[in-house]
Amino acid sequence: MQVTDTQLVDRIKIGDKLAFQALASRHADRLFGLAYALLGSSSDAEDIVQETMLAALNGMGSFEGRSSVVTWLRSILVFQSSKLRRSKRIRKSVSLSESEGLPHDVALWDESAISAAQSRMDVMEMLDVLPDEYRQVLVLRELQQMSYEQIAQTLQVPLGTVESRLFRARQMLKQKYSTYAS
Amino acid sequence: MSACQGLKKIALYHDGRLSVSEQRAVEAHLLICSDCTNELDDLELISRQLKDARLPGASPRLVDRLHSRADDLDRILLTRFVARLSAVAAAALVGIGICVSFFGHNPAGSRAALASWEQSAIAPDLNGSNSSTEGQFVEFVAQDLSGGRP
Repeated sequence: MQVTDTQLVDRIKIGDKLAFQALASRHADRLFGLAYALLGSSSDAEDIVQETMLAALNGMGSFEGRSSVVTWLRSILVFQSSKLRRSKRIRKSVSLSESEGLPHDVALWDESAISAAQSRMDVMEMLDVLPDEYRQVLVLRELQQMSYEQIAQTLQVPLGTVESRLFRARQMLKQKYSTYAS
Repeated sequence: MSACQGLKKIALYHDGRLSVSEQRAVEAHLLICSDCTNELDDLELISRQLKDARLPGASPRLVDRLHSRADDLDRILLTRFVARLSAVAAAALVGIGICVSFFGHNPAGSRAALASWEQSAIAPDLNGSNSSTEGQFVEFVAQDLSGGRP
């Protein structure tokens, strides 16, 4: 039977390093994907995932299990990403020729991989123009497939705020997308 | 229903946030309203586009770095232990300070004790020769200090 996240956290609290490694391995992909979608840069995403896990490690003692572990980790990550974006004022547009968006372990001539990377960059380019709060809800909903309730818990905002931000984000993206498509 | 409210309803329908009766009402409306049908198509297109953008996973290098963070656990637990110990020690010191200020140091009581000591020191002796000798000795010392003047 697989050990649950909460059980891993309980073990980490008493100093089990292997439990921390297991938790990190389990959520690394998901957290990196979220960070990448929020920041649009692999190196920033790597930094933020590391900071998130370190912050989680520091705050593990105060984690009371009111939300799930993954929601808690996502909350930290979204907060850290938002802080980084504010500090760096990331407003770069990702060029289609930029190799940063390519996955780490694919051959350059693999057409499906290139197509996936290009599609990803298109989306990143569109997401990049959205203000932070709209980008966050859209990424959490569409790319992370989270429910409204989970998003509200992650962002610590009321359900109605999630609803209205998501609506506005889509309206903005729709306008951008129509411009982009034309 | 205003256009904006209608669009919001379509977005909620798209996300499966409506009750069964509301869903039916929206579906009936979609049959006769091309604007709302287009809105739903746009939402589905955006969702598809975003979902198709497969996000990259964490690199093995990142996973290794995360694993190495586990070494910080000892330091964090030690820091937390020391912080708790310091908090307990500080609380104990504050407690002791409060006890001393309330029960240990009583200025009025101290003054009363001092006054009674001074009174007993200068009070005439009523208890016999032994004390009388002491009284004579004190008198002698006082005379000696004042240069022999009585």
